[in-house]
Amino acid sequence: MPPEEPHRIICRLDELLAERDMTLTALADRIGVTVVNLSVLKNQRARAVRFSTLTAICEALDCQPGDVFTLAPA
Amino acid sequence: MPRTFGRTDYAATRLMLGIAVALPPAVTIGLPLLGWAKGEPLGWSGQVGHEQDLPASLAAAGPGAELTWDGTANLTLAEPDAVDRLVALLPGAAGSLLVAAGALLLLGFVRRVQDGAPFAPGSVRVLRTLAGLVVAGAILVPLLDMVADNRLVGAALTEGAEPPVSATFGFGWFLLAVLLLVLAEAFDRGVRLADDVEGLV
Repeated sequence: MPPEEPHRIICRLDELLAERDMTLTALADRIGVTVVNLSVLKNQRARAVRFSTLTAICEALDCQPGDVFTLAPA
Repeated sequence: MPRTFGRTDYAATRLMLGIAVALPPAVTIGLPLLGWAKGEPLGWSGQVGHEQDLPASLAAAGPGAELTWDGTANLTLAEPDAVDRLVALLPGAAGSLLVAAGALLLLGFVRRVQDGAPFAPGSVRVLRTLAGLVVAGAILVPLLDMVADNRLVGAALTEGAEPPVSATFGFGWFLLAVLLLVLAEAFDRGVRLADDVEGLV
């Protein structure tokens, strides 16, 4: 496996889901991404996100990409 | 993640592989053992070690054609002993057990494909093991055939007659093993590519 590339991107998916009282499973069913992959995203283990996945998440949660991802301070 | 096989296709594939696991040993081991238990005569087809022109009384050759008999005889031993029976069983048993082992490996491989993760180290190991099984069969089965031929044809010939000692190895099987190893290397590259996109959502 190639070495991890450090980054400071934080995924706020769990906060957005909590605000909307939605479960990860419900979001997965709605956007057609597996729970496993969404869990990877939610638990900060994702290394890359497809634009199509990001579009689907923003549409389902009625939010902007900047709501889903933030840059942690250095 | 979408399944790669449709439900019916997946079930049919698993059924065919399951049949490949169970049927060859049942035929090559089960049926001969049943015949043994019933005390049936032992049939065998083997080389008597001679090749000769086919007499015209059996089959007349047309113009420009030659007909020879390669020495294959169908023999029946009315009262084979236990060693005769076991020796007759060995080539088919070895071949069918190797086929069953290969089919079992493929069941796991197909499940991995169905789960959407075909490029896993386990898949590479399956393909390399399949190549090993093919080579093992390509060497072992002809050798066991030779042993059986020698024993059973010898038992069927009159005293003093020399039973043949020869094995025929099929080049095609070794070529198949090489192709499986090439496929394993391709899957190994695939494992590394899959690693590169690990964590891609």
